[in-house]
Amino acid sequence: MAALSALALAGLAAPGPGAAEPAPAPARAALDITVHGINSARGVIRLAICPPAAGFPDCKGHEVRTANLHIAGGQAHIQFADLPAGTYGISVFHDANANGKLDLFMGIPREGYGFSRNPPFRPRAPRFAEVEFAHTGTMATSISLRYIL
Amino acid sequence: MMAAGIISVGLAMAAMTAIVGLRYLATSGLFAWVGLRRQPGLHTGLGTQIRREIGWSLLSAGIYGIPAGLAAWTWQERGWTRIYTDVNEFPLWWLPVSFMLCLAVHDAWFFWTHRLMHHPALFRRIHAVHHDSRPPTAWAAMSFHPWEALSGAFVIPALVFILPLHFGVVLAVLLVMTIMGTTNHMGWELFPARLVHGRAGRWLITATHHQLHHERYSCNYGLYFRYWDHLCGTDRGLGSFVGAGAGRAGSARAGSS
Repeated sequence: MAALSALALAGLAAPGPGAAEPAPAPARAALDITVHGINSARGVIRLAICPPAAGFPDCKGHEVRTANLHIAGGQAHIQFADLPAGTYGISVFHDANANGKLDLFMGIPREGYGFSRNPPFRPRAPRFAEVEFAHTGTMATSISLRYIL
Repeated sequence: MMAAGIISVGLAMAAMTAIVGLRYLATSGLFAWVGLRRQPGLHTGLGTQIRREIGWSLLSAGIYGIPAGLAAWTWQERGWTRIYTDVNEFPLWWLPVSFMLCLAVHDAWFFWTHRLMHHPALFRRIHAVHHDSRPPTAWAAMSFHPWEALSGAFVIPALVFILPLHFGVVLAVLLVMTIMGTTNHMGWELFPARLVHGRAGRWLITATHHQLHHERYSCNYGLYFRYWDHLCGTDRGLGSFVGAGAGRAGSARAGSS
């Protein structure tokens, strides 16, 4: 079901056969992501790019692109060279102890986390609508991490 | 849309009521248990009173849940609090200063509303519920008449909209509020005698200090700090837990003031 709706949306985003635009948007383009505000060089930054209906913010399914980023100088960087055009949300966290998950205390993150569009701090995970962005051409985005506990 | 909004506010209030209620049962339960381990006769003869204390306290949880739920909902759905997470967003000194400021505001609000509630008319109708605990136990932490619970329920939820507070400061204030509210009533002193009778104890309210308020009524009104009582000449110094049982019998003569 999730995969179906993601496909439907991908179909919508792709240029239609009767599109009147003189220069149709490319089907794939580069996405450059910088994560900053990382408070230590320990562990790794884990990142997921989620299309709609991929179960954001946990981001599951074959449509999701994931990556582990190396930390250098409080920052981490990655470029996806040929990401299909479409709508995405990015979910990222600092897996300082490299155990493969975002550690929580009573539901509150104990490791740094962040999202595309850097939504303000609220007592819940953001909704997809608060982090989504349209990837229509080569672009760069920047995510700052938030540490609570 | 409107109905959905009302339902989600209601759910937030119910969730906060549950959290406050469980927090009360856990904290009071813990200190009551520790108290009984230290002093097996601590609650002897107080069974009826403790059941009443728990009943009023759980009712208070429902009152506290209203502004707490409203604040949580507003934060969650509209993002309208001033709570922040980056310690460097404000100077580092703001962390301890904002923490102390929250306690000072809460303390001042409590001191003056508490004195007001010792006015005979208000005492009989409202505050007598709290003083029905003779002597109070750890279960009396939130044993208030609903009007009294309401008077104190808005302070912290209002502060998160007024002062920029780090999330950790909010948690610390809630922790201190919960622990002091419980320990000040539990009938034994948690803090070392060196602190209680030392220089810090002249400024900080402990169980030994608040015990005297429940014995004599017309003194020691404060919540965290003694300076309002010092300033108003209502500080009568420290009480004692020696012969707490006798105090229980003797308290029958104590009237309201």
